[in-house]
Parts: sequence; structure tokens; C-alpha cells
Amino acid sequence: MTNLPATLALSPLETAWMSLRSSGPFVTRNTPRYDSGSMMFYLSVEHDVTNQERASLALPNASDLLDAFLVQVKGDVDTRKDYGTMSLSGPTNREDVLSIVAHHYLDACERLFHTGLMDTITSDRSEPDESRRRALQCLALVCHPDLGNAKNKRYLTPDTFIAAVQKQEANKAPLQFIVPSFPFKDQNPFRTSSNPDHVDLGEVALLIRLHALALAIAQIYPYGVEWIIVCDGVVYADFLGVPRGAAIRYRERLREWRNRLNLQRTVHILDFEEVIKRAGPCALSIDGAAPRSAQFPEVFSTVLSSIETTLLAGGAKQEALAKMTVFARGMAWNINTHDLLAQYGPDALWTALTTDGSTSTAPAPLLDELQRRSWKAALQYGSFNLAAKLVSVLDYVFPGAIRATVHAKRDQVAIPCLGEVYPWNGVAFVRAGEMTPRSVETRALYEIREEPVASSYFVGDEAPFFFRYTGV
Amino acid sequence: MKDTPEGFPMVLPTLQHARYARDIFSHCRAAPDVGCTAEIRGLVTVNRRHGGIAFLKVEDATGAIQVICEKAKLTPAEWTQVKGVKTKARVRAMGTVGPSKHKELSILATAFAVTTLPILEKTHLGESLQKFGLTGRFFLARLRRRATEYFSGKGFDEYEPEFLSALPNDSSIRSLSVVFPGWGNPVYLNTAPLAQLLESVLVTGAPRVFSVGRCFSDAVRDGYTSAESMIVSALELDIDLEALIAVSTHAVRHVFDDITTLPEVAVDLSSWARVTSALADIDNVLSAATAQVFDLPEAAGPSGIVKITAFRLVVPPNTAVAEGHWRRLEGNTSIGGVTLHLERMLRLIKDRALSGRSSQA
Repeated sequence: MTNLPATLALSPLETAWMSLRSSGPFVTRNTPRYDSGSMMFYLSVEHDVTNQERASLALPNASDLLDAFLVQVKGDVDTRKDYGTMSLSGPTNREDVLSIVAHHYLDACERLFHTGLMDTITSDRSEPDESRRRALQCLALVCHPDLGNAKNKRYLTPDTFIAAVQKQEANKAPLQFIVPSFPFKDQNPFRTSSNPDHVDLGEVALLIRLHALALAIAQIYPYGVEWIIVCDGVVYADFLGVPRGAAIRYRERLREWRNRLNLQRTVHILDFEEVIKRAGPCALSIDGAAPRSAQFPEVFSTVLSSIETTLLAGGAKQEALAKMTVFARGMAWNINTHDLLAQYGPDALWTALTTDGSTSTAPAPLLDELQRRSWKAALQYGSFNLAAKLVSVLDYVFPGAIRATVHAKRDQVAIPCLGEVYPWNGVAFVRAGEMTPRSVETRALYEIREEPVASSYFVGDEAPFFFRYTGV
Repeated sequence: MKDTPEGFPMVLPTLQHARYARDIFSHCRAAPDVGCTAEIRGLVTVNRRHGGIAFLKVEDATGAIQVICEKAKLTPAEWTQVKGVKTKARVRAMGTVGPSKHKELSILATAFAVTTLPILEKTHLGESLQKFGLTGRFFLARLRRRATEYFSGKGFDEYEPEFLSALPNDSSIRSLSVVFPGWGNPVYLNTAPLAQLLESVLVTGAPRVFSVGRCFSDAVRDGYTSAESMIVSALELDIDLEALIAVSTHAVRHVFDDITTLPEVAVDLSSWARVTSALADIDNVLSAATAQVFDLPEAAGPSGIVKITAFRLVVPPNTAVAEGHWRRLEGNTSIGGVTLHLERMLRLIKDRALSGRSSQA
């Protein structure tokens, strides 16, 4: 991909983020200003870092901490069953494409507004209060299967969402949705076939879907709508065995694609590590001791150490260990296993990943190594997320933003879903015949091994941009 | 090398409700198994009726489609209109989309209305604004004409500004670029004609000028106007601030003053507010308008400006329908200007009409 000029590399919000380096809540306001050059008032989008005391954090005792840890990892339980044997011989039918295909997808998603879709949502005027009606219509959009995510119907409490939208509208502030996601390309060789810094049509399509949803909401909400993607690849890189540099390159490639598609007003891309730094220290109290100032790394290592001690030093119940075992098995799918693949071959690694360790026929050294790595990764990953949750990193740094999520959960806006896996955990799969918002799916590589597909590459790229279905 | 892989024709995404013939056909090609409803508005080109069923070919801006009207599926009033419909009549039909007995894609009407008379006289304001924006455009043109009448009547010379510029506007509202493929650097849509108006005053000596037209911005101006909006800009030399605010107030009042220039509304849609009552309400709203005045010391200083004061005329609940500034230059010369936001004024009518409808419903 051609590098864009440096001046185009950052969105307006990212530029402000880079220039305002002090820690504290990062707020975005629409400030009324008069422009004497055009003889009109306008709302100037302005960013600022405010001073706000952070609430002190009393760390729960070890038992409660473990409970909190296990509650939040529940969603990562692996339920995979019999997958048979696995071969890494992927599609060999190769073809070249140009990046215009991404623009076609953008076009297909933006065209949604020129159909009757918006009419069906905006025509309901039964709610007499105009502000509440707008918020309800925004809610309908985030729940819409073609624009948002239908799971939001189940997980969002309407009054909570409406209150958040109305609060922003009362302040004439842009509506911001913040979502930690887009870490790097998964390094499970059965799910993806590329390096961790590779961005394919799956990621690009999700950026476009977020943009389209922002555009749709902006038809209703008057003061601007933007997505803040907080890339969490750099913070997870060490846990999952991926070079930090690759996670940074992945983030920058996302920005390149965002710029290339001209989405700088609707999609902003920040880094979780930087957000954590901006959160600054918090007053941390452990075991009832007097609070003292602590930075996030200390909170994280304290949580990790507590969880490790409770789990591994015999202090945990069998039930907790069983949960952790399942969580670690799921985590084995997320860690970088390319070296194990090279050492033991695809069949052995596939067997190790898809069967229970106690009954697996995979080589014992492979199972041991996989278990060691996956437990370590699971402990670090889970502890990190728990620590971030305890110190409310995102809520503190982006106080007005509505929290969005890739895993649908209570009162967080689930982002559009392109398939069974997230774009970074799989490859892009395109069905032939039409280009609609549903044309691009994200699937694990192993799932398409039996499908008639062609690999579509950009000239010079080592990994495909997408896989195209060639069946009838 | 291919631009896109084979089998990538662009088709419309799934839709549930189509408003144009083209979209109905596209939808049925793309998703033949997914039903849709449609609402079409256009000209009757073919009209056949057999007892209790009529087959109309309706041409809209994008194509033609058959509308099947069955007596049993329409109200008696609607069926009366179907019976009386002639070719070249303008009609509006709503219904479900499906094949006729002869497999022709058709709208099976569940609602029908003849709108042959001029749209503004037969179409309800609120409904049209909400669903089509057509009446809004007619209204906007009326408001524009009223504003033009006012300033012309007060001796302002009308100036026709350029709205594309090869240089980005240097104002703090960034202008929008327009890319002409293959022609190098973009040009820019002007945020406002003020600079050109000012030049016309300073170069020609005309004491009063105004212009009407669209202006563009990538900034949010308020909840109603943003990227593109219709404004009237007027400048006058040697006017004081009070007189400038008075001119602005009179201009706004004049735009709404003579309701006979504004359209009548539908005759049989009693559940909807009438424009006349909405305008009566607007008269009250304008009575409650307030002028807000702001000194802008930071803008004074350069270019010989001694003092600059901005103002805006705000009507309840919080709509600035006019805004501008007054500048005193060195040598006791002053110049004042006002921007009238016609689309915000239109919005006042719309808001009043729709809120009237809600309260009556």
C-alpha cells in the first residue's frame, strides 16, 4: 500500500490526542464560536484534558478478586468439539485485485441511506419528546442488523442508552462510541495465514461498517458521531507471543486504510497503552492499608500476582481451577503457535488444540508447552482486563463516550458483526455475485478449507486480502 | 489483473421500503425472496380499469411500475379517486410489491391519492417535509423570494457570488473540497459569500448589497444546518448596530409576514396541522425573539478594525434565524452585515406544523 502524506495520517481527534499529552479525562466539546469571515456562528470541535480527581481503588481481597477474574473470563470458554483432521494446504487458486474492492464495499454500505432503511426508522414519531425520539431512533440504528448489531436489542437497556445520548445532546457534544479492539492478526495458523501486522478486507470492512453506522446515526443526532477504536494489540502482544512492533504496524495499517477510505471524521484509532498512560496514577489501597498513589502497571502486577497465588498455590476451589482450565484452552487458540507448528507439524498441533489434554493423542511435550503458554497468557490477559476494569481506564479517560464492545454484554453497544470470528481472528471471505453490506464475512481459515475459494491478493503482498467464494 | 473479482456487480443492499421504481426493481433482483413495501409518487401514463380493479402505469423520476388498485383493498374515498383518475394525473400509491397475475412486478396498492393539483395545494406540509422534502424545497424557494423582496425593496443591490473557489477559504470554518477527477488540486466550496460581498461594496461604492444562495461547511452550525444551507447575506455601509439588528428583525418578520404567498394545505387531512395555524404560532414565536449581542475584542485590531460586535436573533426554543456583526473601522466608518438562515426558518414552520399534528393526533 502506498504511504499517505504525514499530514493525512491522523484524524482530527488523533491529532488533538497526540498534542494534549497530560493525563486526565480527554473531553470533546462543540464550542460555539463566531466566524467573522463567513458572518456566522458555528460549533467548533474542541478537545481538552480536564483535571478530575480519580476515585481511590480499594483492591478486593484475593478470593473476591479471583471471583471477579473468573466472571469476566466466562465468555472465553472454548466449546470446540470434534473437528477431525486438519491440513494446512490452503486455497491455491490465486488472483490479483486492486484496493477498489474496499471502495465498492464502502459504496454498498453508504448506499443503505439511499434506500428506505432510514425512513423506516425515522418515520416513527410516536414519541412526542423530540430529544428522546432522536435517542430512540439512534437506539434503533445500533440494533439494526444491517447497520449495527441485532444483539443490542437484548443487551442494551433503552433508558440507559437514551440517557447517555440525551446527555451528550444537551451538551451539544459529539456522540462518541469507544471500543477496545483490533489488536493484531491472530497468530493461530489454523485461523489466519498472515503475519500479525496484516490487515485484510475483514478489518477494512469492519471499519466501513462502523463508519456507516456513524453516518446513519448522524442523520438523526445533530452534533456529530464518531467511533474511537482503542487498539489493544500493543498491550496484549507480550501475553500472546506477538512482537510489539507488529502490533504497532497493524495499528498504522488500519490508519492507512481508514485514511484511504476517507473515514477520518467517523473513525479514530488510538492505542490502549497510550490510554492507560493518560489515565495516570490512582490511589490504591490493599488489604485495608492507607491508599497510596499507584500507576496502572503496579495495579496489574498486583492483580496478576494475587490471581496466580490464589489459583496455583492451592487456595482455589476445584470449580475455579476447572473454569481456568477451560479458559486457558480457549486462550491456546489465541497465542502465537507458529513455532510449535514448525516443530511438531500441523496434525499434531491441530490435535493438541482441539482435544482435551488428558485424552489427547498429541505429543506430550507439545501438550505441556501449549498448556504452559496458554495458562500464562490466560492469567496475564485476564488479569490485565480485570485491572483495567477495576481502575476504570476507559470510563475515566473518555467520560462522555458510550462504551462499545466486540463481545455483546449488558449496556455496552455491540459493534457490527461480520461473522463467527472477529476480523483479526480470521480471514475475509467474500461471496460472489453481489456486493452488499453482508457480502464480506470473517471466518476462521480452517472453516473454509473445504470451500471452493480463490485467494485474492494485492500485487506484492504475501497474504491474501480476502478469499473469494468460487462455487455456484 | 482485474479491478474487482468476477461476479461483483453492484446491487442495492436489502431494503424494506422503497420509494422509487428503480429501487423496487433493484431490490427484487437482489433479494427476490425478501418482500418489501413501496410508496411511489409520479405521473399516470396508462390507465385501465376492469370493474373493481384498476391497473395504472406510474412513471416516477427513475422509471415506471404498475400499480394495481383493488376496490376491496382501498377506502371508499380512495376508490373514488381511482375511478376518476386520468392519464397525466399525478398520484401517490403505497402498498406491497409483488407480481401481478401476468408476472409483472407491481405495487399492490393499500393506499392511494391523486395529487394532480399543484403539489403545495394538495399535499400536506408536515407529511411531505417528513417523507419527501419536496414541499420543503418549495417552501424554501418561497422564503428565499420573500427575503429577496425585502432586501431589494430596501435598496440593497443583489450580487451573484461564486460558490466554487480555487483557493481554500481562509475562514476558521474549513471549506469542503471538490475533486474533479484528473484535474489536479481540488477546488473548494465557499463557506459564505461575505468576502465577495465586501469586495463588491468596497470596490463599487454600492452602500448596500446582498446575495442569496447556498453555502457550505464541514463544521456543525447548529442542529439543523450543516454541510449545505441556504442563506441570505446582506451588508450595509455606515449603519449602526441598533439599526442593523432592526433591519435583521424586519427581514425575518417580512419573510413570514404575508402568508398569502405561502401555500394552502390539504383539504381533507384534518388530523394534520394547517399551515395557517402553524404560521399564527410562528408569529407568536417571533414576538418572543431576542437579540443576543457579543463583543469580539479578539477580532478587532487587524485591518484597521476598531471594534467588532456580533449578534444573533434567537427565537424559542433556541434557533438563531439571523446572525451577523457590526464593525467600526478607522475614520468613524462602520459596516454591518447579517446572515439569514432560511432553512432554520423553514424548520420553524416544520416544527410548529409537526408539533401541531402531534397535539391533535
